[in-house]
Amino acid sequence: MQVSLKLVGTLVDQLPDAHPLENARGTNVLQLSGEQDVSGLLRHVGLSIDSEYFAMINGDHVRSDELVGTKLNDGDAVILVPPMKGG
Amino acid sequence: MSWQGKVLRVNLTAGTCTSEPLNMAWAEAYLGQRGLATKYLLEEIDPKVDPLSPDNKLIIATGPLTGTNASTGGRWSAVTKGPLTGAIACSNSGGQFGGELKMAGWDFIIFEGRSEKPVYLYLEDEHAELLDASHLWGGSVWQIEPQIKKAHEDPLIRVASIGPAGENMVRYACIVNDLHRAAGRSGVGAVMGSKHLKAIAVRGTTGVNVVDHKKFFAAVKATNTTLNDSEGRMGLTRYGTIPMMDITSSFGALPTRNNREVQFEGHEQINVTAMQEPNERGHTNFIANGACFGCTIGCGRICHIDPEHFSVKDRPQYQHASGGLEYETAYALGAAVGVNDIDAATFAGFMCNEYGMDPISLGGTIAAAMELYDIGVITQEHTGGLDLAFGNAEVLCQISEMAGKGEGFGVDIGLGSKLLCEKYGRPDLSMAVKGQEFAAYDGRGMQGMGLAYATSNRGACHLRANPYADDFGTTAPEGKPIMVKDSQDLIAAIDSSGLCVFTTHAGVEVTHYANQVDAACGGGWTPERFLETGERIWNLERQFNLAAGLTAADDTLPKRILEEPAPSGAAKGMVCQLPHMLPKYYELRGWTADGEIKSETLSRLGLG
Repeated sequence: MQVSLKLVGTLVDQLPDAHPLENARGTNVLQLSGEQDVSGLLRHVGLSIDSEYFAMINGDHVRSDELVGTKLNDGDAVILVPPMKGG
Repeated sequence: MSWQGKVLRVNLTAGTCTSEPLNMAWAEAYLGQRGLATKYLLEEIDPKVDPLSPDNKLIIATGPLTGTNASTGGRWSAVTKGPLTGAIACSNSGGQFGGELKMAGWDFIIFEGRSEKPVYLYLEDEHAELLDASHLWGGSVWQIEPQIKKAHEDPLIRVASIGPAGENMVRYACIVNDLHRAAGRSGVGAVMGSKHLKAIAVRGTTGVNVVDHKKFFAAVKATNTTLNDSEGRMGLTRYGTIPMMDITSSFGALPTRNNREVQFEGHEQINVTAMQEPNERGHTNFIANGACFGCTIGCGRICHIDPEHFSVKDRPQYQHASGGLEYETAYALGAAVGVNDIDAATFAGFMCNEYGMDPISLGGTIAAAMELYDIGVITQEHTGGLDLAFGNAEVLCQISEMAGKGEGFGVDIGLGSKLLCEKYGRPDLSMAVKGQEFAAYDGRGMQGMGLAYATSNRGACHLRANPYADDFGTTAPEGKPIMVKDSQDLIAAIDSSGLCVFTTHAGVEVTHYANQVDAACGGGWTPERFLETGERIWNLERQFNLAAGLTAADDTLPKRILEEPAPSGAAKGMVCQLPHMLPKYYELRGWTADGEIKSETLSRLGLG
């Protein structure tokens, strides 16, 4: 399965030294094996599944408490953002 | 105690400066800065006064923690009746000026009357005098601040001043201090201009004391540790506020092209990556972060424009480093006007700093003018040949400079969107509340922010409530009223303390604020008292507005937000559910269904 992932803000700094993203600040195309949900994608790139995220999948908002169990499909575009307040 | 206990009263008509004691009974009830200055204003002026008349007063106010070593303890406010809104105006700024004023031994400066000729106030600790500013009048902020420092042979003087926009009484003129920090909103700079007051220059060497030193240092250390460890603080330090661009655009709450849309296809050209990564010529907009007095966050952006960019190509005076884009500026001078050029937005932001304008209202007004142009109401006959099309970066730069200088169609832009849209017969196209333009959030995608805009005492504002996390969690309106009300109260207290509201984005909680105030000011400042003080201040501002003639009918949003569904994003198909939320909000506030403050509420808060 192929999905695209974009990380925003401080999430880039939370990546481990060894991560699979070619362009951490841009949009990355990733190959995932088997059926995956968003938590599987987080594990794949090395981000904690215990943190809170704001996520959009194909432009639709996914609540933080729905990230585990929200299945990904081939071609999905995922944007992940850390919790942010205004400014 | 960390109040200095002194007010400088400057009568500009008579040309006098007199010292008087701070009203400590009021300070105990309203803390300082925003709250205490509003109390003074309500006691001293008729709220129905013309904001630009000599009868209005302008209060420059610090809080009890301003000038201390509490993190972010450099805030000051300009409090007056606002010419953009006709409501209470309280505009908050950082930089070094506030700390310096407090160090000079003053809590407040109250300006009253109007000087016959242009003047500036020079303060050196106790010494205060009004000096001739005829030679400075007409000069930009960037021109006159170095001139004043040179004239007094002291580079450590801190200056707050107005540019030509304030002199011309542009409705959203701001007061700029330290070259690129500003008391930005509601037109406080126009009030300063109406008084022929060009600048306030201050040098302070006295220091600021606190009541319990040991307890204060412990409270400051605990707060600093929390800030230091906070993910929110780390994000603000490294990236400033601009990462919000990707969130709101993805979510569908980024006001785009005068709120016709809620997602901007060009947001990746004005986001954090565009700011911090090299462009195709290898130039990077971002240079470094910057911090205000005593701040351990450092969210400020110091930037420079690509010298090859059209806006500065033959203008070396704009190729230096200066205050760059925050999220709000990038929205207003980017998405709101459909411009996807980070250097053009940065240039327009420079114009705001140099000429003294609020970038949010400038961008909101240009966006309204662009929509009027798009539908044929404004033509090139009006604009003097300018093609005011959405997305035209060259015209954005030109019209921003013209508005600052008061030239050509820039004079119309200086009216603000409300008066501009009324002038051209389409008042519905002003995206404003109480006459003040929206900040960078659409009230359909973010329902809590819609309620916050509608109920903000100073007009549409993103800094009066804190519904962000919940708004990004759900578009359902239930639960928003209590969140908006409680955060309005907390922020009103923070804005009265001398600290920065951005600490709420970085892990700091009510106990941290209360503990610092308690140690600095003397006992009794519990978290409960801190919050109740905020509620008292919110209601005091409401009292001012009601006395000024505002009513519940002013607690509303433009027709577009209430009737035109969001075209895309998380709230696609939704309008703002304000009619659903407002009655509950009034009930929680202890107000009548007509938005009047109930007598028992006034009595409970000591306002009756």
